[in-house]
Amino acid sequence: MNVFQILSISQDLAGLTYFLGTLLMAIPVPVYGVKKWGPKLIVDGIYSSILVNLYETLILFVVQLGNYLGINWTYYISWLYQLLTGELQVYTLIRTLYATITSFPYGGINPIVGPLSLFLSLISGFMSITGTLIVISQLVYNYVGLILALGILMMSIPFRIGRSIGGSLIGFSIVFYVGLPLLPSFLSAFNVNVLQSTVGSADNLTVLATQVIPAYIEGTVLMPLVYLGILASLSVGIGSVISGSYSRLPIPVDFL
Amino acid sequence: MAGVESFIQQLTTQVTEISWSVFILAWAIGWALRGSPIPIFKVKRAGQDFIEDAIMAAFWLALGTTVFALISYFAGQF
Repeated sequence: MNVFQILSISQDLAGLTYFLGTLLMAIPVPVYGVKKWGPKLIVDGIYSSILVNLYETLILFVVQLGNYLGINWTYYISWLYQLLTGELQVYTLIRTLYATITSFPYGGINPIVGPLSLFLSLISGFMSITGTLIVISQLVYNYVGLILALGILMMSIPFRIGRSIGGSLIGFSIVFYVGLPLLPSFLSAFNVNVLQSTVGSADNLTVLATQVIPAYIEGTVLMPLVYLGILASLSVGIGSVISGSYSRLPIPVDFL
Repeated sequence: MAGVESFIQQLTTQVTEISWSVFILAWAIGWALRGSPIPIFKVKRAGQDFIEDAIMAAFWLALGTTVFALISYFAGQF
């Protein structure tokens, strides 16, 4: 879908909103509930039209803000895939240990099997979270312009039908495009270097249980949860400012 | 996409035409109520409100038509 086609429709919808406002303003019906929509729709039409024409400025602003904050999407995506690779290594090691132990006669009743199963479940969870982060990141990185244009389109619909979700989409695209690549820096600021928590085949279970798994819990669950919470709050705030009403995120971030 | 766009543009044109017609109607009804020999203040006040609203609506209609036409013109140049 072409972004500029969406913006063209948004501009037409802004015009429709504006002229519906003038129609309601002129209508000779002494009912305040109807008449009050006139000035509101006129203002909405002008506001939407300004947003449509500010699209490229908004994109430029987001990119400049990102440059100013030192974001690097290529590094961030590569960081996410390295994280996934590390988790996969740990998963393979534990799975090998599990298969080796259970291959012996009566291996299934070995007391070590319980913790190993728990670790397998935990690492699977970590990989799911990292996978979800990769999907959200790719979505934001590849479609930031489209999300922004869709937000403007929603804002342009007459009678404020899509105003809330439109503001949310605009806030989401701005905040997540600038904020997501700063996740590794955020983790580094708290001395959480999850990429260093890789394992070798010689590592024993104690290292796994006391160093690797806790590092992954902190670096792939707790800290990203806090960080995404901060980004979500900022998105909702900016969405509320833009839409002038209640706003909520277009995607769920409580998958953690 | 082009179908949606032309539909919205057609709708906008119709709404604009109806708005001008409604402006004339509101103006006429407003003056009729205001000039009517009815000694009820509320009726005359409603007539006055109709006239004021109609004038404001006509102002915004004229301004909006010009501004939106200018935006379309400039957007079409690039």
